[in-house]
Amino acid sequence: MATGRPDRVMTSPLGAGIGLRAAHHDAIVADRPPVGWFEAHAENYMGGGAPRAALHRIRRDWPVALHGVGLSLGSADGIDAGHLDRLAALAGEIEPLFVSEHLAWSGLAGRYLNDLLPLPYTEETLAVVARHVDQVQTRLGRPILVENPSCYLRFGNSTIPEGEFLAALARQTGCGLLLDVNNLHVNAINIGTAPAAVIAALDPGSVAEIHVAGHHRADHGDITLLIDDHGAAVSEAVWLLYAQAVARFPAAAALVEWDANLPPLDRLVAEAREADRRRDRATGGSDVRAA
Amino acid sequence: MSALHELQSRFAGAMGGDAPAPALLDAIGADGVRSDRRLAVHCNHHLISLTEALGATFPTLRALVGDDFFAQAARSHIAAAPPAGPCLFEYGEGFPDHIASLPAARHLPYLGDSGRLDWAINRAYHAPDAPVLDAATLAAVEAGAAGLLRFVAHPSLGLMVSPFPLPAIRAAARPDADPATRVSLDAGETWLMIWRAGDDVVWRALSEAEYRFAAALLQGRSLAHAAELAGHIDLVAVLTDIVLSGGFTAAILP
Repeated sequence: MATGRPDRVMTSPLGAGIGLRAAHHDAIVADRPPVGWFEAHAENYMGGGAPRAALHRIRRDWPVALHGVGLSLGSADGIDAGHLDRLAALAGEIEPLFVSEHLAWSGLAGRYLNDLLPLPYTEETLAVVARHVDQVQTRLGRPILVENPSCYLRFGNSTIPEGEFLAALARQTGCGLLLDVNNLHVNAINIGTAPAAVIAALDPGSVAEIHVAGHHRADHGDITLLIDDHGAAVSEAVWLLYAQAVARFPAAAALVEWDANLPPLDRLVAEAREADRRRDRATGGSDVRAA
Repeated sequence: MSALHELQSRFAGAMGGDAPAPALLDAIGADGVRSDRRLAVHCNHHLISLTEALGATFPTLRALVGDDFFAQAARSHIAAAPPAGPCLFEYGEGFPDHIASLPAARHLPYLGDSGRLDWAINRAYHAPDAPVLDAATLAAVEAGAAGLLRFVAHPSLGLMVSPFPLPAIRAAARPDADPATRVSLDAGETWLMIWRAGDDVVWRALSEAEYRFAAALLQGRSLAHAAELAGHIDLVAVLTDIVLSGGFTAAILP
């Protein structure tokens, strides 16, 4: 695609943000918590009424990013143009800080499977995902961020390491990257991907956002898998990866995700402040961030 | 079919409940944990997350049948009619029919309509935003021309009819309901209009004539024609109620 390719992502350091959840809408408007920004799951705000009104209300006071879970960038049979139109309409209204999606697939042949499913890392997959990222960026008129996935399995025919795959995708499409360090940790345990290798493979200017989140451990006989349910506090192992990530990608904005076992808003705000403290320690930074 | 497409077809089949194809299991690196156990993480998430989505959309159904039966019914519905798209608030329109058709639910004849009211409320809550007709615009219409008015319904506005007292059933199924509440199923037919007033979903019980009137307006008939179909009722009360709480988007004169 020679024309219409958006410019590369530029970010400025913001205080850490938190994932926007409907259960917190009222508390956010009432308490005005000291966080830098919010990230909304795009699909939850594609209807009208109270959810969309709350998103607009919160957008008046904070930067808001749209984090999609349903575009299915890795589907071999293409992405749903109608869904992309809805995302474009929402992005037009919200003027989001970022629009992000996942290196995953979620459906095929008109069946939506409601999961971020793993992809084999091959030249074929890279071509499919790059084509879809181009399509999305052209439709939105801006670059998107693509997130590294959490995986419970890997495909034997993968030929490209995860970090190199993401780096190549960013170079080919001009997209930015969203580095989820909880996913790096989960994958290290589940499928043996070395987090340091992924971090080292990514171009320092390509990562615009970093996610931290909690996970839980599932031990059943021969199975020890870490489940990426965003249902707990960030573990120390993940904070250590976060420190490595912010040192390499200092311009990236940090975000705390919490979905399962959602606690009151205060708990998420405390986690965001912890992310700010850890970032300052890791980067020696004392810059005053918007909060 | 490309290699990726073939892999995804097999994967989607396994998530839909088919036994995983040997070629799929072979494609998954085992790494000390069996391939089928790894695949099961995704199959479980698929079922559990969609069951939760249906539970959020159908609180009355879930309370009426209990969590275990609800989960079973959800499982067979998800296998037969998975979501077509990623906005989960749009998933489940066919679920009330499905649950009502299960042999174990046949002694609960009100189940299907209870679920349809859950769906109508969910639909109204998430319906697209649209302008709201204000009473002043309507009041400015000349009395002689009023009969020619046609109304554009707000996207949230819907009608429902049932032989069962649905609002009472829904209220009794709420978690905060008094467990001693008894609902008489012989209370007679219910005609309901459901829409969104501000951020909240509201419903109004209609008489049969009011229902015919509202249905005619929703079909785009003029005010005079709708009134004629409804017979002699106090139309002003119904109209005022709908207009004042945002049920119409516009009133159009020819």
